[in-house]
Amino acid sequence: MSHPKLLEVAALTVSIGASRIIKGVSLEVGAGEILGVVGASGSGKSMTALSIMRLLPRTASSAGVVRLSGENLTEKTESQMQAIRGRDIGMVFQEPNSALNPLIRIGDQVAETVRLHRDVTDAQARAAAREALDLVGLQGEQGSLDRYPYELSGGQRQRVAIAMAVVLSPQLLIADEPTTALDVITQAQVLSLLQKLVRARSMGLILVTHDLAVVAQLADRVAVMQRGEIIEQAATADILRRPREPYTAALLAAARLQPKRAIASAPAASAVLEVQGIVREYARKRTSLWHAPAPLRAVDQVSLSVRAGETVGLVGESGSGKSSLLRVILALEQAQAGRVSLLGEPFSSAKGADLNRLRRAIQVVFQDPIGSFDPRWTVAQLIGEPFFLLNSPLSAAQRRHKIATVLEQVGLSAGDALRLPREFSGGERQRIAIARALITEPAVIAFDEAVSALDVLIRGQILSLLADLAQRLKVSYLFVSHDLHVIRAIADRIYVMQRGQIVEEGPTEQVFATPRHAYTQALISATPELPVH
Amino acid sequence: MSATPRNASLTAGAIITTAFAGVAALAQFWTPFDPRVLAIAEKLQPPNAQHWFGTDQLGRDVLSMIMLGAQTSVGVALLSVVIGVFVGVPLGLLAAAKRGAIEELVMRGNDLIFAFPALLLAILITSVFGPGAVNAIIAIGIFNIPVFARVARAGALQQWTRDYSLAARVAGKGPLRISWEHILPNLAGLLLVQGTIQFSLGIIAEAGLSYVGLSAQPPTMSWGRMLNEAQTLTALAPYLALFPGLAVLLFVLGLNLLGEGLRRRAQGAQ
Repeated sequence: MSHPKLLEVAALTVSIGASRIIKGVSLEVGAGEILGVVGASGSGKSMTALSIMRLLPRTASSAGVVRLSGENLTEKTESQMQAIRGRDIGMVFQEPNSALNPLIRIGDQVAETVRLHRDVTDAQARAAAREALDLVGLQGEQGSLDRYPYELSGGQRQRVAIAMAVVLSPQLLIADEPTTALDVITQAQVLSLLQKLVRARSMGLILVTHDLAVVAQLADRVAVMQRGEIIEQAATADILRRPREPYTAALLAAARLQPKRAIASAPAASAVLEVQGIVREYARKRTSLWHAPAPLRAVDQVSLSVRAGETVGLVGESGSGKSSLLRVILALEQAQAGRVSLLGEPFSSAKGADLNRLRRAIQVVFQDPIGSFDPRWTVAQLIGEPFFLLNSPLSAAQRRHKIATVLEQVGLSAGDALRLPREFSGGERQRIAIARALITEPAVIAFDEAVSALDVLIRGQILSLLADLAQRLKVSYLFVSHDLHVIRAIADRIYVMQRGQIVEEGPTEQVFATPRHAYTQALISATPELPVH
Repeated sequence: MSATPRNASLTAGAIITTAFAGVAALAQFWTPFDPRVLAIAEKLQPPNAQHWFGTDQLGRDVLSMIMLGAQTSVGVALLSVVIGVFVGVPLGLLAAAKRGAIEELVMRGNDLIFAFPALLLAILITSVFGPGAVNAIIAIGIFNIPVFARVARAGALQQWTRDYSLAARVAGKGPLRISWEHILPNLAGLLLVQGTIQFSLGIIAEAGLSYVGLSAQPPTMSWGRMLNEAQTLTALAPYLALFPGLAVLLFVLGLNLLGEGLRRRAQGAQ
C-alpha cells in the first residue's frame, strides 16, 4: 500500500456537553485508497465523518488536527470551509430521499455544486453535470437533467447524490452508510461504482458502515470503532484473518453467520400452516370518472406451507409483497382470493371464538423494536396482552408465573416485568417481543424482518436465542427477511418472492448452492460475502 | 441532557390560569361587595382605595362583578370543552378505527358544522331555545366537537400505523378496544393541549355571546355584558370597559401560554 498521504486526522476529540463522543481518533487516508470505518451504532463513526467536514452540531466542541493535503482544516474559518466542502471533500449520506431537494431537477442540483465553487456559465455547469451523471451510470434518457428526484428509484437517487459529491473531482469522498437504505442488488451496483471512481480518479474514500461484508469487499484498510475510539486499524485482509482485538473478532464472528446445518428432513411432519393461492390487491387512486383503475396486486397467487418444528424463510426485496402476505397470513387483512389454514383448520375465514382460539396458534414479532410496544404499558402488560385470546381469564398468580417463565426463556429476568419498554436496549426489546409471541404457546411464530434493525452482535445473539427456542419448544417459524445471510443462518427451507410471486422454493442449502431462477441468482451474487479464512 | 430546559410559558401560563380559576372559586364564597345590591349614591366612582376597579352606573363594585364574571367564563368555556371532548374524541377515534364509510360520514359531518358561521348558529340556537348560559354552552360546545374529532382522528391514524396496534390485533383485540386501551391514552397529551386552546377560544366566544346578550342573563355576571354596558359610558368612565377587557385578554393569554408550554413539554418528552 503506497498511497500518497491525503487526509490525516490526529487526536480528534469531540464532546457534546460533558460527554466525550469521540476520544482521540487518529486515522489516515491516501490518494486512491479506501478506508472502511466500521462499528456498532453509537460508536462514533458518523460523528468522525462529520467532524472531518466540520459539520458537527452546534452543541458539539472538537479538538485535534485534521489535515487535507497538508492543510490544517481545523484552523479554517467557516467561509473557507464552505469553499472546501464539495470542492475538495465530497460527501454521500445514507438516505437518498432526503439528500436531494424534491423540487429541483437533478441536473440543476448537480450543476449548482459546480456553480457555487467555480466561475462558470450555465452551459458549462450543465455540461459538467451531464458528465458527472454519465460517470455514475445515469446515461441518456434515464439520467436526463430535467428529471425530478421523485421520478427516480432509490438507487438512481443515490447515484445522483454521488454525482453531486464527485462532480468537482474532490480529493476525498466521505460516504456515510451509502447503501444501507438500498436493496442488495442496487447496493452491489453502487458499491462497484464507488470503487471504480476511487481507482479512476485516485480519490481517497472513507466508507462508514456497520456492514463488515461491505467493507471486506471494498476497503483497503479498516478502522474498527467502539465507544468513540478506534480500537484497531489495519489492512483489510489482516483484520479479516487475524483480528487483534476481541471486539473485532466478535464483530467478525457475528457477521459470519453460519449456514444452518440441514436437519434430516422429516417430510412426515404435518403442515401447521398452509397457505394456498393468496391474492391480495389494493385499490389504486381513482384517476378517471368512467372506469376504476386496475388494482395493485401486491400478492399474486402465493402458496406456501410450514411444517411442524420447521423454520421457513421468506426472502425478497422491499416492495416484493412479503409484508402484505404476512398480514393476510395473520388474518389482519382479508385476501381477495386463496385461503390460510392453521393446524388443519381454516383460519382466514374463522370468526369469533374459533378465530381467537386459532390466533393463539400463530403469533408475530415485528421489525421495529420501538414501535412494537405501547410506550405507556409495562413489560408485564405488554407480554400479557395475548392472554386476551384465552376463553377464561387466568388468575393474577397464573399470569405472573407465565410471564416470568417466558421472560426467563428469552434471557430476561422475572424482575423486568414491571419496567417500561423504553428502559431496555434494542436487543432486549426484541427479546420482549419474542416473549410476547411465546406466551400463548403458539405452533408458529412469524418474524417480519425481526433482526434487521439490530446491530450485528445483537443480531447474532437473537438468532441463536431463536434457534435454541425452536429446538426446546418445538415451535415453527416463518421468517421473513431481505437479508440472505440471516435467512441462510436460520431457515431449513426458503421461498424467494419477487413482485408478489414466489419464484423459487426449496431446502435452503440447495437453493443457495444451485439457484434456478434468475432473480435468486442475482440476489445471491449481489449479497456481499465475508471471506472465510 | 442533564437539566430539563426551562419552560417559561408553561410556568407563566399555569400561574395565570390558576389565578383566574382561584378567583372564580373564591367568588363563590366571598367578594369585596355584593354586586347585586345597588348603591346609586356611589355610582361611577373611578378606581379608589375602597373600590379598586371603581363602580358602575348603578354603584356596583366592578372588582366583585369581574370576580363573579370569571365564574361564568370558566363555567361556560369548560363545559363547552367537555362537550367537545366527550362527543368529538369518540367520533374521531371511531373514524380512525373503522375507516371507510363511517369515517366519511363523521368527517363530512364535521365539515358541515365548520361550514356554519359560529355566531350565526349560536344566534339560531339561542333564539330558538332562548338566551342563557346553558344554551351558550351548547352553542360553543357544538363547534368544539369537530375540532376534537379531527385532532383525535389525525393522532389515532398515526398510531394505527404503529406495530403495537398490529400486535394488539394479533392478540385478538377489536378496533374499539384497541382505541380505548392503546390509542386514547397515547392521545392524552395532544388532547390536553387542544383542550387549553379550545378553552381560551371558549372564553372569547362566551364574552362575544354575552356582549350581544345571548349568554348568561342578569343577575348572573358576565364579562361580555359588562363590556356591552360600558360601551355607552366610555367617555365618562373608560375604566368600566378597561377592566373586563383586560380580564378576557389576560385569561386568554394565560391559557395560550399554558397550551404552548404543554405542547413544548410533550415534544421534549419524545
